[in-house]
Amino acid sequence: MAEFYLIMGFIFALLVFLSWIMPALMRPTLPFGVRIPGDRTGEPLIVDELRRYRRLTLLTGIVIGAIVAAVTLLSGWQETLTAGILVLIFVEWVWYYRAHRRVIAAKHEGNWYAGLHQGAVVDTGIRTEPQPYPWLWTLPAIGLVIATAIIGIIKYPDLPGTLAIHYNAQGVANGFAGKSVWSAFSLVFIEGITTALIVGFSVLTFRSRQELDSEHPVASAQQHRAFVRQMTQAVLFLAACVDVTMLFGSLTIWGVIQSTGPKSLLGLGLPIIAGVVGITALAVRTGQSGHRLPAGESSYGSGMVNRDDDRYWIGGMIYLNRDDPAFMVNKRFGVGWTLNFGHPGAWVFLVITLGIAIGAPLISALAHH
Amino acid sequence: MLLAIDLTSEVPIYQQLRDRIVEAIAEGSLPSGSRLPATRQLAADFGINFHTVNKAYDLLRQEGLLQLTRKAGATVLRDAASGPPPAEFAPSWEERTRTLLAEAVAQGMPKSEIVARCEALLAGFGTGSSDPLNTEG
Repeated sequence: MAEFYLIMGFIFALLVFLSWIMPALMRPTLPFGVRIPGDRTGEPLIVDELRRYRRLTLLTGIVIGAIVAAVTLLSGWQETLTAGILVLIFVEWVWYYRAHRRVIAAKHEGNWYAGLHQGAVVDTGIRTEPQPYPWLWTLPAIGLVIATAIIGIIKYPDLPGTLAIHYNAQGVANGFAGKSVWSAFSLVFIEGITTALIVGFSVLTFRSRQELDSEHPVASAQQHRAFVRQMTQAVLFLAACVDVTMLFGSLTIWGVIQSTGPKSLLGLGLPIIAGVVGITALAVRTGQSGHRLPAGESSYGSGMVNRDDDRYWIGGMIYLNRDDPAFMVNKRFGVGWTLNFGHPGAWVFLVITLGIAIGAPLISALAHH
Repeated sequence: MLLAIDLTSEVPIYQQLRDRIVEAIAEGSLPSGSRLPATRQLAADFGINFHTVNKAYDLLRQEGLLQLTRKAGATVLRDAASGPPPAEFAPSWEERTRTLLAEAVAQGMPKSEIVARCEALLAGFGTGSSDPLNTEG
């Protein structure tokens, strides 16, 4: 039981931490998902909103965390934990959106873009002399999938007629299926599909659009290269972590290792926690688009500020621009990428991803019958 | 090489792209044989319409400065070191220069100053070495 609380507590704490730190990971010219010129980053309103946002996100975490802990300990309802996490996400989002609206209002009222030239800068070298995709980093993940499959093939003839394929939060088997390729290899299929999906996704993000800062193009071009390389490595590391969990899961189904009750749950969760901690630590180091990474000094400036593209961003979070040929763009509040919903490719990508997300449990369900 | 476009300018974007690339060739930061990104890639990096980049590249191809290939994108065909321009180049260039010079003359700029400014601009090309645009990220 304690192990389950530990994992849920970790997720909760991570979400509070990410909400609290997120503004610091965004470019100073994109406070709360609003585009502003570089000379406005120190506006008193923005400084005030940042301070208020940090106080509110932390306070929200403490209050909801305390309520959830009290209710769960007193009543024993595990559902309170999931509900608490959903409420937390919503309330933290409200604080973001509140600050977002306020910065937009100040920007319009003060006419911050008056008289400024808005431009875009591209470093052609990022395309004509691209850095190589870190293929070596895919080897641990792919190796683990192959290793799991081989162990399964060796073990298959000796497997009993009935397999325990589902365990509850206490680590006690509560789902059984007759021995078949589907039931024995269900997790191996999911492992393979998940790995392929993550590697495919990382190839796309590795080549995603460069979003250079028009006011510091030389530095941001260096940072872009370092950011996509390091993020790709971290995502591939996460894929390997997920595969370790899937390997342990498969070994449990095959009876190679015995479920040790709640401790198994922690064992299954730990690799994924390691992957998530790794990727979070990297995000804090790099910042969105790598703007926190060190970069060489350059006196070159384009004399322009970044284009005010707020009108294409719904709530500063959803991007919809039919004139933009990119289908993946940098998030405005969060580290990583989001889709351009004005691009047909984004919808294709979404349908495929959702299809696999729904398809994987379907394989699992097939295994039951 | 850094390419910058001004989205608030009255000059059309394809024209700006074409002008910046010609300048980069003159400055030496895009020597003959160097490559430019494929049309779709450059459009996605700028967040502008694919046809805009296409139009700029096509102008440069017509001027004999770029060679376009379906897959590899664009390659610079010639630069200052490639020898004198084809015979048909000078007349049309002179026509456009005449208009530019006429603007200065009409505004009363002395002839000596016009020549001095032209020489200073010319001296800015072909050096390449101290050019901040040359910095590779």
